[in-house]
Amino acid sequence: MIVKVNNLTEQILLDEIIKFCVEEREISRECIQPKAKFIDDLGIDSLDILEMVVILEHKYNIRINENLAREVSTVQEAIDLIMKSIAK
Amino acid sequence: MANDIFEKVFSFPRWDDIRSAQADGSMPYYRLVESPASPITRMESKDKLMFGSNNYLGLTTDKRVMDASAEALKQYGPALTGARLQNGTIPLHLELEYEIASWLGKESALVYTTGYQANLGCISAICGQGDTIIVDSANHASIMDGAHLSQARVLPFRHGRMDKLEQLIENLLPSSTPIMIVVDGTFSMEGTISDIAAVSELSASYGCRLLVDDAHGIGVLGENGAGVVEVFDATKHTDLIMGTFSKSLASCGGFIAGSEEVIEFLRYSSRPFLFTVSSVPVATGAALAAVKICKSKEGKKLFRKVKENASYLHCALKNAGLPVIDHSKYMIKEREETITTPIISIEIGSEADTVEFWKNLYEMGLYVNAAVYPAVPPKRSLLRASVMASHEKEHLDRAIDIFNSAWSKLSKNIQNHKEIDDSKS
Repeated sequence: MIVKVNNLTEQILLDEIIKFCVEEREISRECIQPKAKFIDDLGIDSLDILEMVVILEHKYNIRINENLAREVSTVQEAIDLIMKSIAK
Repeated sequence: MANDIFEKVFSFPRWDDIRSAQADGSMPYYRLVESPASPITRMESKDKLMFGSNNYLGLTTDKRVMDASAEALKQYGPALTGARLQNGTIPLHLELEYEIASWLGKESALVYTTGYQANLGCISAICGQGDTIIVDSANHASIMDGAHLSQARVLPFRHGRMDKLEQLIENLLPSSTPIMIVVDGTFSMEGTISDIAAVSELSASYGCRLLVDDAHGIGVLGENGAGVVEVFDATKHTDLIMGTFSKSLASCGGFIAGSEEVIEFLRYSSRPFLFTVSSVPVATGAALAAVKICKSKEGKKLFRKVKENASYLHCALKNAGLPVIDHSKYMIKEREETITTPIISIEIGSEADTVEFWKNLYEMGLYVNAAVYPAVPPKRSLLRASVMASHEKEHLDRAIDIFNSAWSKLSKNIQNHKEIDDSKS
């Protein structure tokens, strides 16, 4: 299902990241805070991040630069990148 | 004054490791080879058991291959001094292309000067901006470099995970981007293979195109030695097959095999093909002779022998408790089968332990390959042994004895390190 971008907020994106981490990598929901580091705190690597990026692109009909996505280190940085991608 | 562009050279983060390994003799790279790659190879004034070559069929010392190479030198000289497009095509190139295409069941083939260039040249010519290339995360560097050169979007899926590949394609489909899937057929570091039956089926069902790099499988796997694509009977849905001459085929160079139209397109559009001198006659002559041996009845015997040797070494090391990576198991013609490759890898993990293990083996007279990051993922360092059809049982048994002895020594050291660490904490 494709969702309209207009309604996309930071909270929705955080929920999406939590959903991905919980469902795909079985990470405890409580661990997934904006300041959490993907690799060090959550055990999420760049392959997981790219997988999440493509899922979000499909769901929200947006485009996120995969090279920039590889560089994000925290949950908040991922949210910021996606918000910037929408703004373009 | 401009900033010094050499600064990255001066501050290269691996200098300390490299210099320290050079100083204490544990550097596993750039060791000098002083004889042909055969079961016993002269290295640095000593005979070593060679278990670190890609000379899987042992053809580098085959008289027919050497004679064909010498004849090519005599007839065409040491170099052609031009690109294939200009003055660099000789009848040997065309004959080699014909033989490869018929061997792999494809309409046509194109010979590149190196295997690296074959991937670089094919991927960068066929893909471009607006396209998407999906790659297995453990693919060879030449695939990744070709993909990045193309300027297409490059998306990796987790190594060997067909569910992730399908999920990726499904999420991309609404965007209408043309998709090329590129996978290694045989993974050179761990000796496992891709599930080409599943990849080719997914590729065909979603309208993608598929390139399989089988540099390490061609000349070994399949009844006719045509590689993993033959093993899975997937020629029809594998659009392009890449291979090299620098493994089983005892030479140097690479190729792409596919439809006549795509190969003809590459002939006029592939920049790493157009702007490179053609492969030298000695290499082309040797490769052609090796391909002919593979296609003859003798080829089947060699394919069988190399796999028997690999199974023997794999079982012995595994039974001795070494952390050997298992070869892949797949359903082939409704029967589960282990696909034995000539590569037997021992995953050590720590880079320091891997280098120490390598050094002990080398000092005891056994040469294997050490693979550390970035050739393998961080903390997944391994030693890679590879067998040849020309290894005799005596070579294998001596290698196994050396492995066991070095492993026993390393295990004790690892245990000591652990005890020291535990006492500190």
